[in-house]
Amino acid sequence: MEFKVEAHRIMSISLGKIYNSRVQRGGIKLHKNLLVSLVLRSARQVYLSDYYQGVCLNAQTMDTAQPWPPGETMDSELDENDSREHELPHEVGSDVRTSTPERPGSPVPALLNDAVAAPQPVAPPQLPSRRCSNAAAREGEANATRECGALGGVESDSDTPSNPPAASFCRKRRSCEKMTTPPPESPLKKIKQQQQPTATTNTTTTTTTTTAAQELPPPVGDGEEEMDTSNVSSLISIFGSSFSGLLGKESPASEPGAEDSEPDPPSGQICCEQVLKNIAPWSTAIVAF
Amino acid sequence: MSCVGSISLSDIISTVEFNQTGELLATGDKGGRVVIFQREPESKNEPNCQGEYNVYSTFQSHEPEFDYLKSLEIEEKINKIRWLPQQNAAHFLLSTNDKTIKLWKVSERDKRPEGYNLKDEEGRLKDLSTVTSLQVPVLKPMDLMVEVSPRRIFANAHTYHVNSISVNSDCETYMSADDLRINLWHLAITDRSFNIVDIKPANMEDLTEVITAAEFHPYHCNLFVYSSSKGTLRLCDMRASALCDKHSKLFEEPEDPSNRSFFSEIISSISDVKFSHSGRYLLTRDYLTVKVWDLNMENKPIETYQVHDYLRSKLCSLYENDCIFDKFECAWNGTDSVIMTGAYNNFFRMFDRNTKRDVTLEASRESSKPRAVLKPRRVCTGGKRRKDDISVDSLDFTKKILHTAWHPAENIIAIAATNNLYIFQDKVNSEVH
Repeated sequence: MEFKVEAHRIMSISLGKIYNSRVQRGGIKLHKNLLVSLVLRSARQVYLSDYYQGVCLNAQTMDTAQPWPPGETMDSELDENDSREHELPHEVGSDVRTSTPERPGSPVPALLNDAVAAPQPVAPPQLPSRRCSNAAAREGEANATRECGALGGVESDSDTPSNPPAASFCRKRRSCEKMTTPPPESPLKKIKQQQQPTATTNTTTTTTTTTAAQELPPPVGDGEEEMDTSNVSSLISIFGSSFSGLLGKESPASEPGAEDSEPDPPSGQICCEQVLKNIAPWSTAIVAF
Repeated sequence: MSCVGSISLSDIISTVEFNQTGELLATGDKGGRVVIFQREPESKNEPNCQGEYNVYSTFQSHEPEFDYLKSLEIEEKINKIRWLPQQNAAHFLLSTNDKTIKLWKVSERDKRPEGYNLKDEEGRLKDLSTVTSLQVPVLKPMDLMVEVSPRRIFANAHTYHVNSISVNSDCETYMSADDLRINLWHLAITDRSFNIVDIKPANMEDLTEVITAAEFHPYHCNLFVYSSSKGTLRLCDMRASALCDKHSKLFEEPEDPSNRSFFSEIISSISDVKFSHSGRYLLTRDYLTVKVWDLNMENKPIETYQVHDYLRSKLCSLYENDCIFDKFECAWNGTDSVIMTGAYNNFFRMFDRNTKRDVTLEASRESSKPRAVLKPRRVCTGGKRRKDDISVDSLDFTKKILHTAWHPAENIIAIAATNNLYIFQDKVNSEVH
């Protein structure tokens, strides 16, 4: 428990540092941000391992069988950037069809089920062009983010087929859902990926504790090389909404995790609603930047 | 060790470097200025009077810039200064900020021509009707004037922040290293450089380490070393291939699992690497230790010295206040027998490799009156506390000595403490070392 509290604290400090690095004179320092992200990853691993131990047993009861609406697809954790941007609808769809729960009782997808079930899922045929974006958030559409969140994909390899599908454009963050220790590089991968997009590209905001609606990074090598540490707001959005409940220092029901989900299935929905409520401040914060 | 001088500069000092003879000492600061000190020749009248360092020249090396394309401000802070070996009467140095390296020529002028025919002493053109005879201009002595002029500007070669520059022993080339790449330049050519190391992954998601420091071997012009944020050193041979991504030697010590914490990766990041003068050893500094590596042994350092191990239990607080990201430098003495590095509370540490003795000294106004002898300090970590000991909790973490330099031949050290430069000399032991 102590580790969890400590990990939580370190995570919030790390996020603060990444956030502040945006306004530092001289630009974002790659070395420092890399180190901070490593600390963040370690703390997150510790925190989530405690978290999952708590909700593990209850997650199974929260899985409900829901057919995938046609046309809706979920992204899966893929490593290739450019190809994915175009292949998403098909790949994700197949992933949805074929994915099986690798980790029974994975609590996060279960929570996500409820999260995505609540708002109406939308099937956007033009998936590559539609993104949960900071731009949307900037327009003040909290709904948009929630919708995106609803559409946000869940890690395919930890999804159950019964999970409602999410918009394919949203990439999941695999490590978040994994029960066991995530592969070391995956959080970092996501972090770095989020840091890539430039101001012109869309970035996504996360919507639930587990969905990471991520924008695909722009094709590498077009035009002048960017210093790939520019966009941290998307990173913060990921972690923000992932841990929005966890990071809120004053909110009593801040943890959408173990304690709530243990009692009974409906609490999962409550958790998600709490999480969704907490998304708004982060969206606002992102809008400000 | 006694204090020879202390100078207060207008801005935080960001780099300190002696030239190859030790006659000149250059400092760079956060405001982009370079101040060069020159050692006064020892007075013949008073043979015991140590040569003092006085200001020789001050100039603005870099100005703040703005990259409009990326909407980034480029700091003017001088990250590194490196002197070129002297080849004529003038001195040359390289100074760099985050993006641009500049070559400066520092020359003296102590004569000026007088007696021009067409202009008067103030330089105004003469009325030709008043010129009745011709004279040959002669050089007359004048007050010494030090002129500094930029000779080359090496720009637009680094996407990331430049952290190191190093002049090759061939005196023709030098390298500049940023977080992910190292470029090789010719001193006379500014419009192109060769990339010799590139650790940028194809997908930035896969980034796991960055380059933190790089240096050429002192006399093998084909060898250089670079350190990483993972605590590894790579020795590269430019003869092996044009792109030295593949190292010739990898120096890495396995991590001690008992010391694992959230911050293990941060404290293992190497902040500075220096070849010994002999070229046989490498000195590295990470957050808590300095290590000496033998070029012939890759699997572990031959010596490890704890700089301030009492901070190991305070890493979380140091992470919060950002001190854990401080990049301390390290230095060899002229004979490679003593190594030095800075710490907090304006302390700096010296380790004698032969006797295995170490000392902690403080650079402060009180202890640095001229000729004042430095008293060894001690940090008490619990247990018996002696008089004048400082407890770990009363250390001032805002007073940090990141930049130190050791005279190439004598026991003279330059310590940068925020915006103060202290110069200490150890005359008594100079024969011993």
